[in-house]
Amino acid sequence: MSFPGLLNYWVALILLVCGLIIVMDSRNLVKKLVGLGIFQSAVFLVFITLGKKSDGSAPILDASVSVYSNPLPHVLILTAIVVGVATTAVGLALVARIRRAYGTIDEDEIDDRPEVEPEIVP
Amino acid sequence: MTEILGSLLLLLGVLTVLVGGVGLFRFPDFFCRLHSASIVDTLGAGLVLLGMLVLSGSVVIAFKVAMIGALIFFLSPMTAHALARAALRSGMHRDKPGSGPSTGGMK
Amino acid sequence: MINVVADVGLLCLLLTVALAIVCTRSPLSLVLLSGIYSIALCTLFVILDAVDVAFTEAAVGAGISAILFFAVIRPEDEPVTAFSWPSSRAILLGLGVGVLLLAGTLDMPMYGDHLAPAHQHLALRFLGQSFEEIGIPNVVTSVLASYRGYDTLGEVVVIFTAGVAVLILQPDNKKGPAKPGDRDRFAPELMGNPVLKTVLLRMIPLVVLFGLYVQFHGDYGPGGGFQAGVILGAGVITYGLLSSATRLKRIISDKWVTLGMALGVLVYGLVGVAGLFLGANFLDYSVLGPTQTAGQHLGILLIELGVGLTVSCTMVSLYYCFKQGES
Repeated sequence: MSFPGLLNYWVALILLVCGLIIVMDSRNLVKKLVGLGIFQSAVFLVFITLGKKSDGSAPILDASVSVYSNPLPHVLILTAIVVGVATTAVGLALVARIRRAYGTIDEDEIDDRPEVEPEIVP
Repeated sequence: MTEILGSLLLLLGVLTVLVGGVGLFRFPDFFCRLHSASIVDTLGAGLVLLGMLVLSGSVVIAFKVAMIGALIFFLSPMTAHALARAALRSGMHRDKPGSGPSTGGMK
Repeated sequence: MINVVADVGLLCLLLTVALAIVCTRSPLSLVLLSGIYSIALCTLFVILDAVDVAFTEAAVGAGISAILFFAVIRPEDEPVTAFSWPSSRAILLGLGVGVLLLAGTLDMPMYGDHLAPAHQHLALRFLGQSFEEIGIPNVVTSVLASYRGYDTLGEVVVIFTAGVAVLILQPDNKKGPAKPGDRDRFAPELMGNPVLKTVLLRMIPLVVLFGLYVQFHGDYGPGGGFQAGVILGAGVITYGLLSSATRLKRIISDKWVTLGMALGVLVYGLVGVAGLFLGANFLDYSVLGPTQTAGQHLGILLIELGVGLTVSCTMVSLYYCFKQGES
């Protein structure tokens, strides 16, 4: 009963730190977006773990089941996943636009070219 | 009776997956590894699904499992074929040393 | 017992893949690794009883987001060294944040604790009374569509806004339509492969049928508008990948797709306004039918339709925008 204890939260914590390190350290914009996704998924894991009840079942009502897990975190995270992919798409569109303007998606190479005017011409 | 049969099929399927997984690590190049990976996809998944089919109590669930099985039956050989073809097209050959997936694969 | 073993195993897999992502520099490997990460996370969600969430993660993480990433990465981005450790500055800062968060987790309830505060108030009401009030067995759907309908409306608007933002960011296509031969960069021979074409073309109707099943079965099992929208979008995009975005646009033009995005949000909002006109609160569906549960059924069906329409059209629109950016 008490074995997993806080393990799920600790793993989520390490995943969150991994995402943070990727976002801080990486100079490649696509990798930054992947890191943001990992950061996000760590939060999802915390919420879903909070909703779990031991010996519980998925929250779909049925006569043969008496213990259900908490449906509320599921609702919040379900919508968050779809919103997450939509916002990732906005990020990717920005990356594609940066590539059109600078010819690269590496931040170091973009920094090396300060002469490009900030107004982006399509 | 059905319980024993179902469990036996599940066990066989899991063993096949295990063998495929070991092969994935032990085989020398991409095409051999693909061979063992597609065993996991077809035979392993197929046996597990067959076991679930035997164990499933209701007709509705059995029908759903059969649908999944049909989908896997058509799709996983296709994926293996597409992977092998893509590898061959991008210049990966069996006899070339060091053409395994560990080199990155993309030229 | 078996749940705990699976939980620990999947957590180990997640950690391994996350560490691999930290050290990998090649964009192609990154996208593939994040697909593996999503599949592991989705299996973990099933273990944690969140079947609806797992369904969404499987459709989104392993399906749509890989397609979007593949549209943006290029072979020339591949670095010379495929592997590198992060800088010590980033690791130190990360460890600092980690220690602070670790102190925070010590107050959390244990895994599976029945007495955790989260299970005491709203969840009891939802699990105990939603069947009388709403009349559908899937509690996640009744909370999503009815109790928290206002929140879900907000989420749909966010998805719509993201779709519009990508549309604004896409390059001008006044220089002429895309070339007819545009194909996927990482799979140039996809169209010429007879096996793929034969199997996948026959699969697309099945995928669309499955999407519709998920849409309308969401009241009784895992599923609903969000998942169905992503699956339908993926089915349509498969045709685009198989032939070309230009040929797909001849079947479903981008004007219709944009219209569908807006129409879904409009349907959702109008259902709410209809409640107002019939003398109830915004998004209160009880007055839409002769009895309370009949009204709730009708309302949930309509707003799930709106959600499905917006999500599927947004996914197809995203695909069109990224294909446009390539040419």
